[in-house]
Amino acid sequence: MGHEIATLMRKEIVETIREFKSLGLFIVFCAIFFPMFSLFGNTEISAALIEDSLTNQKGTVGVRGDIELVRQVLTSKKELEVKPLFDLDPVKSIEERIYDVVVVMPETNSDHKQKSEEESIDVFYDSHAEGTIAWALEVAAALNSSQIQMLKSKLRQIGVATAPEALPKVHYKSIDIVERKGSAPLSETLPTVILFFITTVAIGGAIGGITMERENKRLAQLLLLPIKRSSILYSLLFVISGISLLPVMAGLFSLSWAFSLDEVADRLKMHNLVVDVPPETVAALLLLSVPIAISVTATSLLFSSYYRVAQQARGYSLIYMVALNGLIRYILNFHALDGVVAFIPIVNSVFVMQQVLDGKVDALQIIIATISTLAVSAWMIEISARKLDDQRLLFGIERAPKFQPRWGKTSQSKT
Amino acid sequence: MTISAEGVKKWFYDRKRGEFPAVDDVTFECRKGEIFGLLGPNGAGKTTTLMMITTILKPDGGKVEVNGFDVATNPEGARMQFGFVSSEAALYDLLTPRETLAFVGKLSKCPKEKLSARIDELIHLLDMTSFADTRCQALSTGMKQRVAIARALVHDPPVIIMDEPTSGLDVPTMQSVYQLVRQCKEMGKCVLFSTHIMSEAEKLCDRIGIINKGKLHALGTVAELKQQYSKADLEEIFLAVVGGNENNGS
Repeated sequence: MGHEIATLMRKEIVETIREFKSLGLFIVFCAIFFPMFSLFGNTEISAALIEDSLTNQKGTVGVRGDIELVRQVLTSKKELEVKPLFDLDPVKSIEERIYDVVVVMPETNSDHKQKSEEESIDVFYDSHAEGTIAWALEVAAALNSSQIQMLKSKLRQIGVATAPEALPKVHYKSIDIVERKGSAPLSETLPTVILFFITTVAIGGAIGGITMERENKRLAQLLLLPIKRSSILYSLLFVISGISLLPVMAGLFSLSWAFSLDEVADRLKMHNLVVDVPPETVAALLLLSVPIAISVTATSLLFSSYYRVAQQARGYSLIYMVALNGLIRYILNFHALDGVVAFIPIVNSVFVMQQVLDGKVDALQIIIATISTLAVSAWMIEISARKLDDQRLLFGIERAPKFQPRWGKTSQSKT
Repeated sequence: MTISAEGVKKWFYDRKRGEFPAVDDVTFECRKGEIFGLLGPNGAGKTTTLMMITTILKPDGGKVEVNGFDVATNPEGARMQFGFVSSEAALYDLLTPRETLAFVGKLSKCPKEKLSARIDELIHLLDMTSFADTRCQALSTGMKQRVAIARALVHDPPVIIMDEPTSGLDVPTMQSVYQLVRQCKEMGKCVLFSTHIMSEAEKLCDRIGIINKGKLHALGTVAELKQQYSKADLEEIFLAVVGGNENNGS
């Protein structure tokens, strides 16, 4: 079987190399758009990048607590006017558009001194308004980074910080707490972008490798040879998943290069975002993309093995792509499944990548995810193999329906 | 014998007719060193019969053996025994004829050390030297058909099955196909040749089976059929068997 697969793979590779134009264009497309999709898919980074368009607009910051401290911290942010919050409720004041951003500083009374490490600066904003996200980031970044020393000394003066290195944590209301410890805040977007590009190549390859071959009668010719049906599919699985990794590779290297550019890095640093995708991360992400590529290709082969006409398969491929990508994202975001998501094949390979990007590497989880995903892929290949010589799909020969109405029966019968 | 079909049946279905027999109790055999012609109008069941012999379709009844291998119980073994040529060449456009033959040869378990020599031999035999290294997408229909024939012969099978191989070919290419079929016979191969062209069947085939509406109506040498039906040529015999213009089969 290994010899059969190797021979079939060699043929597929030769054909791909000889028709490299379309794939080459797609690789270039990925290299250009991969960093953009990864950036703009991320709430914080996109907010940072749209900052320029908002600098000339005025925003109002309401402050509860040490207003002078906040004024000093935000001196350079000319577009933000700092006002006291008085007795207004922070969220209500935003909802009623009295303030765009509200900062609630830690209390200064003695009861809170002992709990200083739990103290936080709360930054409230309207998560549905693009501008306020940018302003909230401005305020939070300023409070948390460039003027941090001044802030720390002031906090020490008012007795909030007991440990000298303890930093106040800025809580963004309406979005998750962002840990800025050097790991790329791309765990949400990057796996999705990789999944999308792999699916695009895999479904195209699977339709070309099965449905079109069936339509052109080349599959029938191949089925006449003394080879196992699954060999045909395994060769396609390996070649298509390998090819689908090429645009991902190009995209990841492009992403790594884009983040290493001073212009991009400086812009993100202004917002205290340290995004670094070094070559070793690229290599790790590529390795983690392999089970994703194999499982998505196996799913695509299964999908295309059910179609007789390539045009029809292409028509439904968009639904398939949206459904597959959507289902994976839905399961990942469905927190009730958090405990078992590592055991759900295909989804878990995306989940593992997300975990690695979050800096939570778990070798056992990676092993479980890889093995279960590969096992399910092999199972899907076996199901697809049974459909290869389906007489209806191969020659359009219809099977008699199992249940026929009495008036639909014909006089002829099998004897 | 190398091909044996015994009471082979295949049922098809369409909404209008319901279930109907595409091949109904067909029995024939094809021997070593013989060209057996399966003659019938379009939709008579020729291709369906061949598809069952070549293991692509499963018979609903009866038994088919190719060189002693039962197609139902040992389809992979049966596939090693034949080469198949159809009217559609179905070649890989981006491969050259030489690469196509190497690809099929390897998958047909041709000994590696003999494969290259076998490919050269076929290229010479089928007069393909001028285009052996040109991509198939650039070849004419006749050239493609020659490549398809070479593809069927590359693993030197004892049985050659041809389904209307001259369809769409010009006269010189048709002649070269005939010559090749005769060569196969001389090499002791069993050739099953399906056609609806009377002259072709008369010229080439040692024995003929006339099939219509899934049933094999006549079987024998051309001389035997002429005697049996008291007709002067095969065309008249054919019309007598299929009943005039009644060739509106499946």
